[in-house]
Amino acid sequence: MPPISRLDPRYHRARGLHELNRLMSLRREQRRLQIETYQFLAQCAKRKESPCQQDNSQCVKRMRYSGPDLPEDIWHHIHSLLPLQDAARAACVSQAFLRFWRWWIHQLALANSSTLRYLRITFATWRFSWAYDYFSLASFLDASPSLETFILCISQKEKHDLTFKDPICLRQIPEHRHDKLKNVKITGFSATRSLVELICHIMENTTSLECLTLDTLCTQLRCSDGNIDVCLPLDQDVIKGVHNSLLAIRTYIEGKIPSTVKFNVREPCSRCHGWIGARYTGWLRPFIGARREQGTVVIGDRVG
Amino acid sequence: MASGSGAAAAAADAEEKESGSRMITLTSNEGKAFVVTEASARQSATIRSMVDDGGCVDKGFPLPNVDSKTLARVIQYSDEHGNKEPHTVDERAALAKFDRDFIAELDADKAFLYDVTMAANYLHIQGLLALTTQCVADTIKGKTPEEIRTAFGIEYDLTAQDEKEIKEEDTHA
Repeated sequence: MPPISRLDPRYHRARGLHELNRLMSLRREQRRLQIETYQFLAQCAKRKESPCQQDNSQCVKRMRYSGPDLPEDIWHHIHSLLPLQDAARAACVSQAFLRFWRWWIHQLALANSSTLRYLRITFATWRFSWAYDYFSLASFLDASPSLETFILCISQKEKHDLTFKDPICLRQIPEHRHDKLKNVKITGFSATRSLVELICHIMENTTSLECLTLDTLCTQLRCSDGNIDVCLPLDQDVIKGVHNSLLAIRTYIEGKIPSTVKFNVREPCSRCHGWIGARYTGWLRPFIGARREQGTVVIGDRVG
Repeated sequence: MASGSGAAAAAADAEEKESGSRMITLTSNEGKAFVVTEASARQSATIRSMVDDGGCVDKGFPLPNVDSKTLARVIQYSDEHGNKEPHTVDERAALAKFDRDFIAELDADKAFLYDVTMAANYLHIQGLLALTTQCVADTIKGKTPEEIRTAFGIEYDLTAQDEKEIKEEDTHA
């Protein structure tokens, strides 16, 4: 049978079907991952429910095969700390390690689509019992060459682990270039080392970036956006965290942003949380003042 | 009068709570009691939330998942991190050195390293958990599968089918 000409409608039908199949299999993959994630979360949630009963042994799934005696979720975390090459090599250690490797590669597979243009990742409070290594998300970006928009929503309480006093050495992965990524938005930004490392990685390796937005709060609801009348109250820890977050942005990120990139920093609302400025004077104040006119603050405009 | 002394007691209590000078008893699964400062105990998010919820501070906290040897080691870590607030560069360097020595000692005994990791996970001591999991990851880095097996005492249990699949996956990559 001769190949179908591009002008023939059958060609496009066949192509469309092919694309549809691809999409369906991607959806199935996502669905399966969702189910697995839910099972994992259910496990975590169960464990969290009963901290006083001190019986988490039945909730923690021990490894069924040979291997080190640690719960699977800790091993998954350890695998996410490994560079890909090491994780791949370790797959040949035992059946348990092979499963961890497959789990990790499964996560990457979600993003590893040459057609993926929009990626949104959400971290919720109860999802991880430890500080997540956000820098490992750089692998997701590297695996998605067509990605244009990357949104990271963090709604867990982060340990602000940057100290600002000593110079820090940020991890880097050379040789990765993103030339399609245009928009990066991170909500719930905190002064967390791995998160700063991720942003610096994106800044240094993305030639196409147009806009970077860092939101110091994890809420999407703001009175200025018109979706609620009054912003939700913030507790003192959060306010203190925002102060640290802004300091981290100023110390580590601001200097790395090319002049061509539109850089937005979103802060607590000046109308509803206006008292912050009074309590935390110092350099936080000019931000709040500037915000009144602009809605979002462009860091470069700040004086002092 | 009575209410006055009650208020004074409450104020003293609040002051004590503020300074973190209260002592808290942690009991291992072998029934051994460890008395630690509140600042040290607060390194654990699990205990912190129980203390803040007004839980059983006076009665102490039984920890049936943690044995005495592991608990002693965990307390060594949380004492160092909870009782001292590093201010100077030297103090921070001393704390970093403590962490290095602490993990180097654990690294020599993998089974004990797992026990401490489990305890850190159970007690939600983020710093300690990050330290121990990073230590395990560092042990795996740059090693051949055989070396990893030796380091962690793992038996080789891959079937011929697994090996075939790994080979196939490799050729696809």
